[in-house]
Amino acid sequence: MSVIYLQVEVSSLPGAVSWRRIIGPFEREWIVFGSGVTYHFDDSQLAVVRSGYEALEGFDATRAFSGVESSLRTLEVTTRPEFWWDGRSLNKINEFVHCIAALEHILLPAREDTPAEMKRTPTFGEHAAVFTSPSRDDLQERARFFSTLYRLRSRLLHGELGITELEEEDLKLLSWGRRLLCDVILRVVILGRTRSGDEMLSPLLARAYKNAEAHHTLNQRFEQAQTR
Amino acid sequence: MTTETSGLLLGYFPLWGASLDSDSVGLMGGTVAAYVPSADEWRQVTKFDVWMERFRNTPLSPDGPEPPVCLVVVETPGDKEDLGHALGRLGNTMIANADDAVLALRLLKAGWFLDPGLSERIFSFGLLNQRLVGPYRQAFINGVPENAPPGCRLSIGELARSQDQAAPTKNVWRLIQQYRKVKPHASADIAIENFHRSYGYQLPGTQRAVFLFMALDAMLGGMSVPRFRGVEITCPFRARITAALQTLPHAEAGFDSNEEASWLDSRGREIRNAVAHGNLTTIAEKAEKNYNRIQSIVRLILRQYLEFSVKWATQSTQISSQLAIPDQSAPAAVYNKLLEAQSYGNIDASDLLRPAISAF
Repeated sequence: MSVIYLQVEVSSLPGAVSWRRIIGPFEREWIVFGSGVTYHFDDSQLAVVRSGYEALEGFDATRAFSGVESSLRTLEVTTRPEFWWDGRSLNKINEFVHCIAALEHILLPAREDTPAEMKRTPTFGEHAAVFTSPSRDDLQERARFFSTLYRLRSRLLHGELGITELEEEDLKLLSWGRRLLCDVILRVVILGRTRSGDEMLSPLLARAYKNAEAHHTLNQRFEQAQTR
Repeated sequence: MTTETSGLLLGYFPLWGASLDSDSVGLMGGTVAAYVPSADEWRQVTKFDVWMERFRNTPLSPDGPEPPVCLVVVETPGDKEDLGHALGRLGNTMIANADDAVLALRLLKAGWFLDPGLSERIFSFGLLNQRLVGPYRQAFINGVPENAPPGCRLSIGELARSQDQAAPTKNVWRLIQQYRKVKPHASADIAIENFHRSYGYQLPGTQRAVFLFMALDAMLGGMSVPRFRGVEITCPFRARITAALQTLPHAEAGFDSNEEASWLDSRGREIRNAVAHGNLTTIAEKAEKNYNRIQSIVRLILRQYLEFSVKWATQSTQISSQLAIPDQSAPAAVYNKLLEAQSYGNIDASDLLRPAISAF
């Protein structure tokens, strides 16, 4: 995002090297004047970063479940300055709708393949809930909560709200889009190590939500994938 | 271009990547003008070390680095008002007006330029300058980067030369002002935001396409038959796009609404599905080659959607009774119902879909 310095051997002069700069989206302004943004990582946060790195190490886009590669791109693009530089509320809303769209591509079948009886709002919640926790104790409650994220996305995209009309509760939900996407991406990347052929995630999640045994099997598979 | 500016507060909003075919001043609307500042004027408002760095990179230009086309917003501070006080009172409105002018230019015609909010906004009052620096101010130290998309070529004929003269940019500006005044809603605001983001800096075509498809999602409910609360739509994507494009006047010779709708539904859908579900590298070349075509379609639909939003805000009772839907329906639902009605020939919705304000 900022700059990469590459040391390159000069072929005509043995032993000599030159430096090349690859300047990223943060550009020179940040290199020259520094960034006003600071973030302090403590040990627990670094541990999360480490586990994320380990999950993504060796990630193979060609073998991944549908939607994973574009979701990683969504995470990257929504950290660019365009999404937070001027502090407008629309930035948060736009980040939210992009994160929910990315989650939709992972958790739900493509719209063209959606059975007529499947309602996307509750199904989104069910699939998110069953995928992000091995517990069935509060499954329905969590499914209802994640459904509210998808419902908020629809209310925004359909124009039921003005961007200045969001209630306090809605504003709190906006940050959940990114949180849920990060969690789902890490899990789907790990589970993807055991993917066979063109296996789709959505049917696995539908079975796991309805059936405790299928949920247990999915969790076991996830744990095994983690050790690979 | 040099203007008499003593006693005025001027906001400079450089449009890096754009060009203007004249050294005259053109009017966008309200208090916003567009022109290329003189070398002297540009030197006075640019930070000295940045100006010098640009100068070093353009040694063949004796007057200094070539100034970019700028939107210039003009306001009159009160008696004895200093820069800080005047900015506190007028700054946000000046920025909002410049933002609307940026949108007006992008809705008017194709061609890339960087949003000035991401490069720099400069407020000048007498000899004093206040700069709001964006993340990419120094991106143009060496001029417009080679990998930037083809720039916006603005013609002075598209701008008004006097306050009472009509002009294409002024027409679009007026539409945006009307939309802001009525009841802005998240659907149109998200569409606008993503249309803007498709002009981003250092973005591959796949990502530009993602932003454009999000704009289409906000206006058309996606590329499948959408589901809206309380309003049932059965009309497929292609038919709705065709209905939208057919009612619009088109400046571009050879624009075929059916062909564009058909292309977006097939080739555009292929790009959309690949960037959403598939491997990005396999579609990168097609996305790079075609995002401009998708952007052109979004530009036309977005202009129509803003006009529709103004009409819906002021005539919801009449429109909802015509379509037999609740008058509290979401704007995107009503817009798609109108497109469906037009496509099926249930009612003649062309008056509601045809722009009252022509951009041309």
